[in-house]
Amino acid sequence: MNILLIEPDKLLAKNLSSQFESKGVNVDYRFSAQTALDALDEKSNIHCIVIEIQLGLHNGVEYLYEIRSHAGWQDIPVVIHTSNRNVLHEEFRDGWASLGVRDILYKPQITFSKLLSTIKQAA
Amino acid sequence: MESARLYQALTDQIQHLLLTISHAAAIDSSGEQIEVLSKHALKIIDSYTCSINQVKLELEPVNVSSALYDVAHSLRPLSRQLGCDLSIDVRGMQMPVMTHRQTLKDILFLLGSSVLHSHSSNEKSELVFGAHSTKIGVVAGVFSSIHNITQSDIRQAHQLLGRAHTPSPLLGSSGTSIVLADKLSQQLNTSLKSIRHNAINGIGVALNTSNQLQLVS
Repeated sequence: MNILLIEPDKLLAKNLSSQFESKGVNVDYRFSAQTALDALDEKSNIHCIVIEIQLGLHNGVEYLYEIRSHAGWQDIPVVIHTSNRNVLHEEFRDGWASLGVRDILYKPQITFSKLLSTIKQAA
Repeated sequence: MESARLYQALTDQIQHLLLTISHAAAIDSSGEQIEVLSKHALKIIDSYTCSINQVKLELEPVNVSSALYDVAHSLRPLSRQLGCDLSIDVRGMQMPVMTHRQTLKDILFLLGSSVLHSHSSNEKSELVFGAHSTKIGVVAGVFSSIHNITQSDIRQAHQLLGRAHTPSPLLGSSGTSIVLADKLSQQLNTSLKSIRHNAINGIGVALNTSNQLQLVS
């Protein structure tokens, strides 16, 4: 399985990537929304996008709108892995679902195992 | 109100550091990473405590170069993990400055770790711990090869603290470290400024030279 990991913290991304790769998941790691768009341009076999909504310049929401406007990228499932608790509010669920978000995980409360199983279910 | 926002931003940053540490511990091969991140978290908590307690600091003559070397040495593991080169550049003969050694080191550590985190992209980059003499004293700080840090970034860190996840992309993380460094600077009767060193921009403090040793020389 191949995932696109979009995470502004390089150390956290490095550790997550090591954990994913030890479980046989290939990771393409991108630091920002812009470089993540380039990743989709370069590769056609991404099974799931794992994204932190709070990115440095363009935020994750803008990124999701951008990818859904491309014909070839509309069906790629997305899992949000975020440290922003506000994203979890029930009232936003329908909005996230319309952007192809399969689940939203709050980083401080989620184990790596849960993250991995969520991604496998979504992909 | 500002203290509530600082507290909020501080808890966010500590939470994030602990999260990274927990993942590092899970892969069990990053003792160095765990150590430097733990130190960063402890430094933030300690700096916050110092800043709210407003302790009167005893100033003493301090060699700025040695402070820069100590801090650069302590951040080298983090810079390695982030793929950023780290160097020290002290220009000219440095007169000792009147300051509080540990507080100065804490300021430099907070600035260095904050700017290092902003170097998290895959671009080749260098962080310089630098100092040079000026007409008013000695300026010391951290300077980025890829980011043009200005006074407005410092202002933004204050204004958006606790309101934005990343008040300034050039200063990394939540801005907590920058605001704490500024508060500690005020305890040294100075403040954070954007500074230019050897044609690169950065952030640091201006310190008065030690009058006692000036008389001797």
